[in-house]
Amino acid sequence: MKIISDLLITALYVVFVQNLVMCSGLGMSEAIRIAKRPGTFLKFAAMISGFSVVTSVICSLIGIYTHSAESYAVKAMIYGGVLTAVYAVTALIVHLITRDKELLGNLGISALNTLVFAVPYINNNAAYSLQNSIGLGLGAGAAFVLAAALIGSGSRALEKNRHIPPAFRGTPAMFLYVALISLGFTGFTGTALF
Amino acid sequence: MADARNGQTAKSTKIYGDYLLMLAAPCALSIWYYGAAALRTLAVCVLTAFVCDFVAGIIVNKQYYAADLSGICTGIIIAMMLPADVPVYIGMTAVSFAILAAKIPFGGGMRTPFVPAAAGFAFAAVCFKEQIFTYGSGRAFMKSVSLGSSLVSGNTVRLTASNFLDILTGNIYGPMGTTCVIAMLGCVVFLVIRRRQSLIPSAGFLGACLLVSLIFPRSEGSVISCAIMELCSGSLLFAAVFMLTNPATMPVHRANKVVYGVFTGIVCMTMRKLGAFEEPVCFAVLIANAFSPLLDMLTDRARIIVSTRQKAREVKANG
Amino acid sequence: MDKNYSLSSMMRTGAFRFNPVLVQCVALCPVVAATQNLKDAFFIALAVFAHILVSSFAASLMLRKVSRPVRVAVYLILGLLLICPVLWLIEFKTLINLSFTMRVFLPLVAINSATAVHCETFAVKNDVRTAVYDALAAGTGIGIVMIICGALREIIGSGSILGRTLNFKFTLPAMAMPAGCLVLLGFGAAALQAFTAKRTAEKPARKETSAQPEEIELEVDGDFEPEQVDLDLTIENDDEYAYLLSSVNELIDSFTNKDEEGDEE
Repeated sequence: MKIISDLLITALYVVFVQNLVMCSGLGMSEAIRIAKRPGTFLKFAAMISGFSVVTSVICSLIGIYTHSAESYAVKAMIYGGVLTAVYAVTALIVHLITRDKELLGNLGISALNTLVFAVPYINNNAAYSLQNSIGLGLGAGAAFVLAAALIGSGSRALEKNRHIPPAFRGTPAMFLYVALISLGFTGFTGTALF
Repeated sequence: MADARNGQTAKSTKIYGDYLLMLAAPCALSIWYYGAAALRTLAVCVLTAFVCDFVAGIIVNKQYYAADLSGICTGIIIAMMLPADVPVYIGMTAVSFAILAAKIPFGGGMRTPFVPAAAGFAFAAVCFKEQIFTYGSGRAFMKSVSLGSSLVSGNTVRLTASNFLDILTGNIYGPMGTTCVIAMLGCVVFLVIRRRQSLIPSAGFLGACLLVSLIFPRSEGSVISCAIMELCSGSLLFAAVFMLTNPATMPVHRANKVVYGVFTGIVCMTMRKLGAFEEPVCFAVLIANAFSPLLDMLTDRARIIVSTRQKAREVKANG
Repeated sequence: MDKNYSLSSMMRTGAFRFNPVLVQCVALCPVVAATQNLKDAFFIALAVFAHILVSSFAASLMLRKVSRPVRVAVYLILGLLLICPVLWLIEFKTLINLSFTMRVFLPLVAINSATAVHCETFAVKNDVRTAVYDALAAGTGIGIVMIICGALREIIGSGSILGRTLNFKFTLPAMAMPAGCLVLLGFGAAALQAFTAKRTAEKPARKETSAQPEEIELEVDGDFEPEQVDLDLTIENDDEYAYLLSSVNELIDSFTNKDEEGDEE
């Protein structure tokens, strides 16, 4: 029971309290891009959560068994290497089974982004247990989709707004929109993630 | 385009004119309680709002819409949420941010996706956390700490007839214009007469706040006292009247308005319990504002799906 | 391969007019999270610049025949191989006193979206010179935004510059947070948009009196059909590079939806 509650608390924390995308900008470019395609949200949530969980668990295990990750350069190599390996294996399996090119393209976006890469760092920094790591990974996917959904619905509302001054139309208004959401999330912690 | 703009400005004038009328009561009370300090803060905020609105309007829109009262209204709302003796630059920062980052870039008036006053106050709260939640002395106050900081430290005020009256009249430590419950109730009555629909989110908000404070009291002692303190502390009632009733930021569908209010209440109370700020209602309002178009979008999609299925069923039934 | 490029023209278009951060919304993570002061911003900008340059060079030279899912992983590995040894040297030889934020975010540059976008839209489809020019333009554009953001955030947010206190009466710590940076980006993008619109409005008038500007041709592989891409931006331009930059988001979408023909085997 404690394992499940730890997992859920960590997941909820990174989705609502310290939304990884809004509070630290992780995966923000991808979230803005995906925001235009609401039909793909669940697919991306599942893929990002999957990659985050697997990467962070493997990195945790490597950290436990090697005790070598004192240097951030070494950590980066380990985390990057694990992420690349997880992505390569997944892409290979998908290629062999389905040969679905769209899925392969989406796998690249889901796996190779700053959000998934940062998850092992957060894990390591907060000294999370295995269940926390899994919760963090699951939460990362949900946080990404929440951010994408908020940005997507907001950008649609902004597109309809004909009174936005010409200089702010499009990207500038969207940056400010995201800034104000990010400011709202600051109310929980009052600080940045790193 | 010009007609649409004029229509929007006329609507904005009507709505923000109402707000200005309602704000007269808290303004008068803040000057009564805090004297020159309140007047100075109020003047600085209003003047900053006017200057930012005017200059940015000229630069960005090539025109200043004097009839759009939202800028002035934002200035007064922010002033009311600040301590009376707050340094001048804090008021100026909060109002400038509200106008320049949350109002002008989105077309102003009835087109802002976020309540500009909430954005301005939240920005100032992050920048000047100590000053904004340290309340200065005015007239004879009930206690030397605000209700909000009492709750943060887990203390409950034992409600007696006299201090309950103090809470009702706003004779307590706190933001200069948000603590008077009677004034807020007066504003609610005004809104009931003028714009009843806009009170739907506020009702959901206050209901959620009350429920959360009853289930998870922040202080030991009487649960009822704690719940009353929660509702009367900080800017909660004020936000319910002046931020959640903003028609520009609330969802379109009626059911969503209730959800929006309840959601704001839950977020606000969660932030009060776990968050980094003594009064986080403005942060909660910003988050809820972001959810507002999402709620409408989800409802629209659900309706489309339901109607499509119904049509499909009808076609099937008709052979 | 008969092309007539001008670095200055590509730089104008790629670094300023279609700035990767302010217009294309790429590389937002390093900009938002890691440019809290000028020093950090400078190192992050340098890392992004080096990574995009090396990746574009490699993509154009060696990765054309490699399938896209493999290429995107190669960009990450290249970035790690480039950044980690430098980070290791900095850490163990204590060359520079790096902040904790930098130790985390410097390796994250290896996975930034700007590199993948520019390598996939330009480098693999063009010769080495064009790819390098594009990388130079994109790297410069990102670097400029990072350095300006870093300087402004340090001045406004901490009241100092390069660690030296400026004795301001008050500072705005919110500017050092992601929300503050996004506000700066919003105003920066608005200023750029207004400037571009003004220049575009002035351009036809200038064309009548001056000689025709140098024509830029950018070779695009046959499988890319610009007609299929819906353009959101309505800025008038007659060079293909600007056209491709303006449609970069649509191109990225098209990559994720449909892979290139005959590219995966």
